[in-house]
Amino acid sequence: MNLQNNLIKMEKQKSFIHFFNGDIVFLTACLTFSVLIFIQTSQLRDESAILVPRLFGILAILLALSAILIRTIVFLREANKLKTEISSKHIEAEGAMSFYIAITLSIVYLIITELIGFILGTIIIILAFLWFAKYRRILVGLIYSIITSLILYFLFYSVLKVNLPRGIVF
Amino acid sequence: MLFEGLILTISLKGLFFLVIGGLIGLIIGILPGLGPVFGTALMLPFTFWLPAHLALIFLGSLYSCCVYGGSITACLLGIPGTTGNITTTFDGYPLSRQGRAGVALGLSVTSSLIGGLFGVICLAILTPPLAKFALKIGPAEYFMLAMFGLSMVAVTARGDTLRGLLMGCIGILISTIGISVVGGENRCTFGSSYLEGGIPFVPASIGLFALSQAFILAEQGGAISKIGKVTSGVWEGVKETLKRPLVVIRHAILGTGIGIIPGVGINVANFMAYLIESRINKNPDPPFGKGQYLGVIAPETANNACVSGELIPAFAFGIPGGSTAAIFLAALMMHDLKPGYDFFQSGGSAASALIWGMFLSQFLFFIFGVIGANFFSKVTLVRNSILVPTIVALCYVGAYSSRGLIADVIVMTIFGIAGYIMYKYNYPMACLVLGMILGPLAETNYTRALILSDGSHRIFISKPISAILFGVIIIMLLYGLLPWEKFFKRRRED
Repeated sequence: MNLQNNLIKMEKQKSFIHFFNGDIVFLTACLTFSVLIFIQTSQLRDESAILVPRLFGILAILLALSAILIRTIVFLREANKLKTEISSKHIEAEGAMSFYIAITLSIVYLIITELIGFILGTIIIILAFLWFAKYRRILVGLIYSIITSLILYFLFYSVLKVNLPRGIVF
Repeated sequence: MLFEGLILTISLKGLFFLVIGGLIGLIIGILPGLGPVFGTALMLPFTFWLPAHLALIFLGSLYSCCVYGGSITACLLGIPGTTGNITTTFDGYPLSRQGRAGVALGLSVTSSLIGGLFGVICLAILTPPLAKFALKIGPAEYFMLAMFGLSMVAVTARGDTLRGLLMGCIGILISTIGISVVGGENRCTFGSSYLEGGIPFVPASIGLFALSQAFILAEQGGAISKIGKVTSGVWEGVKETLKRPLVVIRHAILGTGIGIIPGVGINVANFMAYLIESRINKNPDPPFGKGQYLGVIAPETANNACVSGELIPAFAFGIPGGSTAAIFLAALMMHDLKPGYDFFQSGGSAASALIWGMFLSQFLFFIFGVIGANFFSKVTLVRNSILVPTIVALCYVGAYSSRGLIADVIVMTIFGIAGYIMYKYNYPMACLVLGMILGPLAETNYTRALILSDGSHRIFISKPISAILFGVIIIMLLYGLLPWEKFFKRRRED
């Protein structure tokens, strides 16, 4: 009996954590954005400029709240049923990496390119991506990263006359 | 005059500039973030030293091939090369994932060819009458047209209307950030000087459609083609397109029509075509979004037809249909050519050389597309671990290149994360983008129409075109928001 209670408790905890997934985070972000835009409209003086952001701000707030509410109701229903979902076997394909690593590397790329310039930043980030994708042929990776960054730099900077970051360190 | 233009175009110099323009256009189209506006603006100064006919052949070829080029990455990598190829990713990319990249490229190149040819013929023959019609479109009609596009949000989101409408509203709210299109007041900028210019559309769309795709590919590993090989070729795509003449004609007319209306552009044509086609064919096999051929044919026909359509008001009245058309006007001015009803008469051989240049450039990209398809489609066999960092670097440069601001790259990254979450939890991205594109168009013309009518809303239903559009919007909303399918199903069961 005790074991069963513990299992139910654990299942509830698990599903509670499951509730706060990317979906609910995204809906909350939409709600926050809509509220912020709505608040901003109070600072406007021109009547004609207020109409659209205020109207659609209210609409977005109502829609986001409804979506959160519906999601909560669905979650509570499913939690009461306490269906133990058998997690599908996750087969990782070759070179797969977590989304969090990919996003972190993209943000790091943004920062290091500003610091050390486009060419060096691109070489480092390509190598980092390859490393996290468990690509271990370092020499091939190095040559690929150098060639890619030089082609991109030549194409955009020299041919298309697009200024790319040169970095502030060097 | 038309014959003289043809002779000039097929001369050695004419063909040289036609091919060079086409190649540059193709490369710029393939690179995310760089569209025809960038390409024509970049090359405009170089055409100053050329005779008028060569300059126009070069720019015309560049423009046509650039819009087609965007569909290559849209089909192969799920990354729209230009904003006019966004919906091509919806079905072109799933085809590549099924190992049928060749078919996707065949569909896109053939529909682009037919759409482009239709647009060029309209440009040559119908410029004066179509331009007269375009003059009848005032702010009230513009507003109704924008509302028609927005009402498509309700239709697109059928099945998950709540989230679709939420995304549409968020898109409109994003478009309100920056200097107000009506009074010029700083609006919803949170005190940031960067936001005064609004959220830039190019970095935002690169983030939504390209960076998010890189994250998904990174997570999946392996290669884009899930079966490890590219099974069928480009000719199957060509044949499949030719089997659907009505679809192609329908969207060629739609694309040209949208192009004629100033300020609307190829991205709207692309979306409208996809949404209309997905409504006409309710239960296709495979469904839309899973590699349906019509999902590639419709948007690619419309955006290439729109290319020439955009030039019609520019040549007829000097009113540019879009930013690229404005650059063409600048090219005309540089070479002392004056737009007007009889542009193709008064413009002499240079004007007809432009028509022939654009006409032949359609065949040029068709040849590039067919010959290169097997080579291009091999990209889907490259391992994602190699592709992902390259895509991330391309996204970075694409976002940075539009204005040279690191803040644009930050915007791109934020939209990339949002795009990833939207993909994972089935939020309709099309609704968000429709809101961002059509929000400012609706707002500006709503206010203009009210100024013209002294504040009376009757203007929106008193004019015939806007009244018809109003009726269509009501039907679309009733269709999109009410559960008709359930109702009819119940009736059938009863």
